[in-house]
Amino acid sequence: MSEADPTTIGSTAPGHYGSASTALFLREATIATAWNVHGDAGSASLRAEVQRIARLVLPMAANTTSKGEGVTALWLGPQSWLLVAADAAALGDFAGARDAVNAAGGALFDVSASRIAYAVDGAPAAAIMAAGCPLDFHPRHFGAGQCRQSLYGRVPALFYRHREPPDCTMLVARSFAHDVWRSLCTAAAPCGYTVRAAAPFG
Amino acid sequence: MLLIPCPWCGSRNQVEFTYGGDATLKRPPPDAPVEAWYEFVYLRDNPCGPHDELWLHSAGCRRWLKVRRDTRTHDILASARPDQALPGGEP
Ligand SMILES: [Zn+2]
Repeated sequence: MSEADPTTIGSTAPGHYGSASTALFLREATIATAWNVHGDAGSASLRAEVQRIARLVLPMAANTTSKGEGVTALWLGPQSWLLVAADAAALGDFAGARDAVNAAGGALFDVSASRIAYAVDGAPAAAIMAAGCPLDFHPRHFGAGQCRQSLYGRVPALFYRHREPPDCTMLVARSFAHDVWRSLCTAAAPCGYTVRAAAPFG
Repeated sequence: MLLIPCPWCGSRNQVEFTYGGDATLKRPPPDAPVEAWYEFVYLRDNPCGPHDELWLHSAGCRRWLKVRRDTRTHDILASARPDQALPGGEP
């Protein structure tokens, strides 16, 4: 790992920043495709159509996720889900999928460019998330496979734990991502953090 | 700080929510006299005690919900989906 300038808190260049401790890691989790599914959770035809397109079962329980081959479905609300894939091939052609979901009474939106994901890992991760977010990140309340929509600072954010805590990934609107990254780095600097190279989501 | 129980997401911090006003108002029929519309649009009670309110879980599931809040203590007494009654009916 290269030695980064410790004064440039907020830089996205891989390297170590802040205090000397090396327990905390930040990186971007790259997203190729993100589709927003809207529709009636009680509709068997909608669920079947999404299962055909994304090869996963939509999570019906609040704050939960499900996984298929290269695709993660995150519960956003009782009629809304986010399908995320790090590789565009995992979800395929949008127009065909949209028409199929429309025919099943739902709606599908291509929001691939709308969010950036940041992965925070290491023992102090929960404290760094809690510095800007009112959610309880204790594993008892927010375990692996769960997601929550909330805020980081004043920015709406979607939090997702695809592995056991302390690891956590947060998705924020691209237009706010620079500010959120700076906030994360500022919160992390007192304990020291390492920026890793971007890696695929999930 | 208030903890508001979202009927879908569970207990969440107040900062995730947006206040949406009195939940007990009933929209008058379209041909109601102008006085009824004036009252519906502009006039509000200022109750002391339990009050049924609309809140939007704006930073969460983006759903509207009903919340019964005690205006004296800020105690959150109950919450429900918009299409469901709060326990005990209207205060
Ligand atoms: Zn909610």
